[in-house]
Amino acid sequence: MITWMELSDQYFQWWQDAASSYVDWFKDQPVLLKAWGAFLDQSLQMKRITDQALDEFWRAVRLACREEITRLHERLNVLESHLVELKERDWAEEVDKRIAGKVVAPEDLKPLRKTLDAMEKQIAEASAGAGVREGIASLEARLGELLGELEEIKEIVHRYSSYLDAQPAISKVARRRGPGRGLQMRPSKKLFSFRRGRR
Amino acid sequence: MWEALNSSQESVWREVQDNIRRAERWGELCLRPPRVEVGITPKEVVYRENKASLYHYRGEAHEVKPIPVLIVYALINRLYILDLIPGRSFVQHLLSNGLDVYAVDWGTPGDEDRSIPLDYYIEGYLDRMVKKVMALSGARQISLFGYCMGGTLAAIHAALHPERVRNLVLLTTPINFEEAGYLARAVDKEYFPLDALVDALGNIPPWFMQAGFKTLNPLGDVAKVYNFCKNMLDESFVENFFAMEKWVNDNVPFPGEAYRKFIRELYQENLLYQGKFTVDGQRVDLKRINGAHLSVVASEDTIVPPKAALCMKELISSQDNQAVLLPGGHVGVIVGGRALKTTWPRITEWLLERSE
Repeated sequence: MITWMELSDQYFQWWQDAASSYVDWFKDQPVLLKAWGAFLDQSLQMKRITDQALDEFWRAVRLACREEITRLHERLNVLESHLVELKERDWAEEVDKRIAGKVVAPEDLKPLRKTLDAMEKQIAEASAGAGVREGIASLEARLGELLGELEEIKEIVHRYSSYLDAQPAISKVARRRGPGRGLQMRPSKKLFSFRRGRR
Repeated sequence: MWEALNSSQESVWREVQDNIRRAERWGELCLRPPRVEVGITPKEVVYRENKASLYHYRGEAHEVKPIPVLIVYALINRLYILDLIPGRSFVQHLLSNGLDVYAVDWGTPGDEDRSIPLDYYIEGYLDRMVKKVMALSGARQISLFGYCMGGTLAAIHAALHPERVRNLVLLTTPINFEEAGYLARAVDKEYFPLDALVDALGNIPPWFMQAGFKTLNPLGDVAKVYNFCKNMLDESFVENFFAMEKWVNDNVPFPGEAYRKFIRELYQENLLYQGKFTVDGQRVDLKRINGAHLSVVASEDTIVPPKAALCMKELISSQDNQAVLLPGGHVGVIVGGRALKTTWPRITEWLLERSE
């Protein structure tokens, strides 16, 4: 004998099948999609106008608007990406070489270990020579340059973050530029266009 | 006759008692909804750039395969979706089978991320993460596992750098967007104000995308509530239900410029399928993919209908090339009850055979 639950299951299934065919037909109508698109377009235009008015208001009271703060954050993101790239360059280059077949994967290093040991001995013997000393000095100088660059970028990041934290500082700059003119930033489409491997 | 009447009476009485219990349980669940802890497999961050992080899962298998697996999710998904709850964690399943698992967490984009182009997600973040996985594991090639839009990103990356990818697993991944069903029709150039949307909103909020997904099956929510009421006395059902709800409703915003390119060039113009899609100025030719490939497609998927995903097999030049159609929907195919017996073993065995 059929239970109440089974009966309700059957009824629900029948209702779902019947209703879904109508709903599917309805939601696929181009008229509906067109009307929805037009409504969405109008709402978004309204939002844009409201946002612009709000931005103007913040500028009028000499405060940075949301757009300007966002642009600053974007720049910080780019700087952070550059920092990460610098910091992680060693392993990235190593992997590039490994992929290109110039450096073998660690699992393949065992057969080469003997050769490396022999080379190590040779280097130790030759370290007294002038050529090797010069080579080491130039490498140290290059390393110093890179570290200097890294410090410079850290400094910029530090400067920007404190700048963002301090709202009065932003309004101060806006005030200096005169009424109705906040921090003017260029559109940031190209911010992320830097390629890998470039500093 | 009397017996039949008696049995019917008993059945009604049982039903009434069950309904009283259900009402009590409903009240309990409303007052104290169960806390679902998701993503509990031990892991650590091994790389971080802006909001994107690369996680390395810690497994307990004695012997780990040398080829690591990198899981790439869609930009709108959270990290835990394949590591839901104990017993429903695909990540845990991979680990227990001796695979070395990494996963990309795109993070939650803020207003400042609206200008990050799709190209940077592929050739910036993903590129570095792939390299980091290779550096950490010491492997020369990896396995890329992409889910939904993450699969599209993984396939593009594999086409740009085929030398890095030994195995490519695509789970319900749209490739031919012309066959993407209702979603493709809903974002048609003729109706959909794409530029106005991105210009006005910046990042596309999760509620907007949720609304789009709900439209695919408007009666789905009614069926969900009906099933919940029917099975709410079963503790394990309730736990799974809340975990799934957390996943389905816990999306992150889609970064604005990435969304613009994704919708325009993939959904509206279908450039990837036609071989005209470019990333950072390089043309993406899927034919360049020559590693082993497995596409897992869900037969009842409405977000990525089978036709949109199955074509991948025809577009690449891999010798070891498979596409399988498994039962289930977009989510159910990997975390549903059936997935534990169908999808999981299928993918894991395929990966294990090719990870030596």
